[in-house]
Amino acid sequence: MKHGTVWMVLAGIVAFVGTLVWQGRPRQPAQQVANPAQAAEERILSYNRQIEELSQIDPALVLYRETHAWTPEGLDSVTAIAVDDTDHIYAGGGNTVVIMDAQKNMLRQISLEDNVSCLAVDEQQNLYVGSTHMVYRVDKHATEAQRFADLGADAIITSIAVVGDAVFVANASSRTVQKFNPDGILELVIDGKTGLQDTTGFVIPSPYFDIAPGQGGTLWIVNPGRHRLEEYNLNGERITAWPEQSGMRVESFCGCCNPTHIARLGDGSIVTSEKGVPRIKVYTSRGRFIGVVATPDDFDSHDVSLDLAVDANDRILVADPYRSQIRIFEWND
Amino acid sequence: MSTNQKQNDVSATDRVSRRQWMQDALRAIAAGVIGAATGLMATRSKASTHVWQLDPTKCTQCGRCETACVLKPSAVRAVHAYDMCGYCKLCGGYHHPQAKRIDSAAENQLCPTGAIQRTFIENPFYEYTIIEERCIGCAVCVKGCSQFGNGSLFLQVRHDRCVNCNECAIAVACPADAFLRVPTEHPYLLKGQRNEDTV
Ligand code: SF4
Ligand code: SF4
Ligand code: SF4
Repeated sequence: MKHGTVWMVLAGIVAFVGTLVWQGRPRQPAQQVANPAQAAEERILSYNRQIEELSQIDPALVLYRETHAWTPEGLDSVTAIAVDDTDHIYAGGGNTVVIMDAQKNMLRQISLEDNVSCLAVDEQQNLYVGSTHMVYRVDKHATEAQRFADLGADAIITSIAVVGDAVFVANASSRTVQKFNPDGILELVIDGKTGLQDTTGFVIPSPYFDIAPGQGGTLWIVNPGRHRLEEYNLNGERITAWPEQSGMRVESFCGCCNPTHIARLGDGSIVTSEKGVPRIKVYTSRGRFIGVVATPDDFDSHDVSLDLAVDANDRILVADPYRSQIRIFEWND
Repeated sequence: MSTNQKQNDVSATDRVSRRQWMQDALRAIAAGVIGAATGLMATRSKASTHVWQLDPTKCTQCGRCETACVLKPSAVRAVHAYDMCGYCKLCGGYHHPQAKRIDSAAENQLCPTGAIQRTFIENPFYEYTIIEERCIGCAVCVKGCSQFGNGSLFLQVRHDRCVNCNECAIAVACPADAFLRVPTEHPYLLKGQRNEDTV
């Protein structure tokens, strides 16, 4: 009994001293608020860590590898790209467009009055060039650009797509896609509104508004403010749209105005590029995520707008303005 | 072209003008604040012809503006260039990069002090306004907006607070060399089309 009491008293003392020592222990940095400079730095570091986490991509999802990268002769920067049916490559940067064969040999060079914003080629290898508010046409073999359509001084032309003989032009300023006939006559304006279900139409927070020909004579239009791709028939009626929700996961789109660019593969799948967390991905035409073409580690800046094109062998060509290069990614066997 | 084009045109015009009005109204509010600040600054620093300011195009959002200033809280605050903003529903400056939901719940907000007010304008547009009294100049929203958005959020030394030290403590600490002396008559380096006369 006596011994038991002594042990109990000793245990109490040990517990009391233990509590004092525990209370007086040095705090972990995360719990320390005494150093505001550290806390402020930690806040920024924590943000950076989260962006790094978002940028991490499971290597098993990466289905492509980079096989070519070069700065085309005659260009100081590369901001726009297109490929025709014979795999001739058209690259734009500054106020210049260069045309190369598949072996990267320069064939022609075209100068414009203003900077090139986008390129598209039709089946006869006539080239369409978007430049501020003007669309120019360069006939096959020609070296002079002819005015094709003037969308008005306020227009901001961001993309052109040729479907059959119809030339579609995306205007970020009016938030519409305009359809022209081969003579440059306006035939239709697509505003993305579908009556009562969607009265807003295209949401364009910044000048990223891309379009691309779909399979079987349709047109894909990016609705970047909604992080959505919408497919239209040539009468401007919406056929489908995906995804339903924005998100931060690799299979989703997030940030302001994503995806910034799209292109179509031979089987109708869609290639997308994003800024903020720069990456290139592939989806089926119904919006199922297939995999990754290029990860954020492949790019030197988060603030990069990556125009896309696909050649006859389904190689993905990327205009990388930060490196002033055309980069080619191929399916990784 | 959609079938109810005319109807849509009318409502679109209406919406645009409503949104424009809100932007104008907010600019007017900002003008009042900055105008008052400039007046106060002029009386405070009569002897001085130049004041400290930071160049938002050089700022790398290191976080030192919050803590290096001799004032607590800092004289540096976030400013919003509404004319550059995308009015996005999912805002890189407002929402946590790993936000579970795109809403205004505290756990989804990036700002540590809840200093950004998110106001619904019309589907899918939201307006983001800095509540200056709560802002501590931590630069996190600026970082998020430059990472994902248009870069419309930026930092400025507010001259209704700044005591115009001979040697600005933040200028010494700034790793981006973003601080400079600017003339007292033009004390702000604003982004977008805002300027001290027209905001
Ligand atoms: S100290 Fe310089 S880099 Fe850091 S947040 Fe301030 S202005 Fe930006
Ligand atoms: S995130 Fe920081 S800089 Fe931005 S409003 Fe909040 S406190 Fe101010
Ligand atoms: S001059 Fe002084 S008060 Fe003004 S921002 Fe710099 S450290 Fe702060």
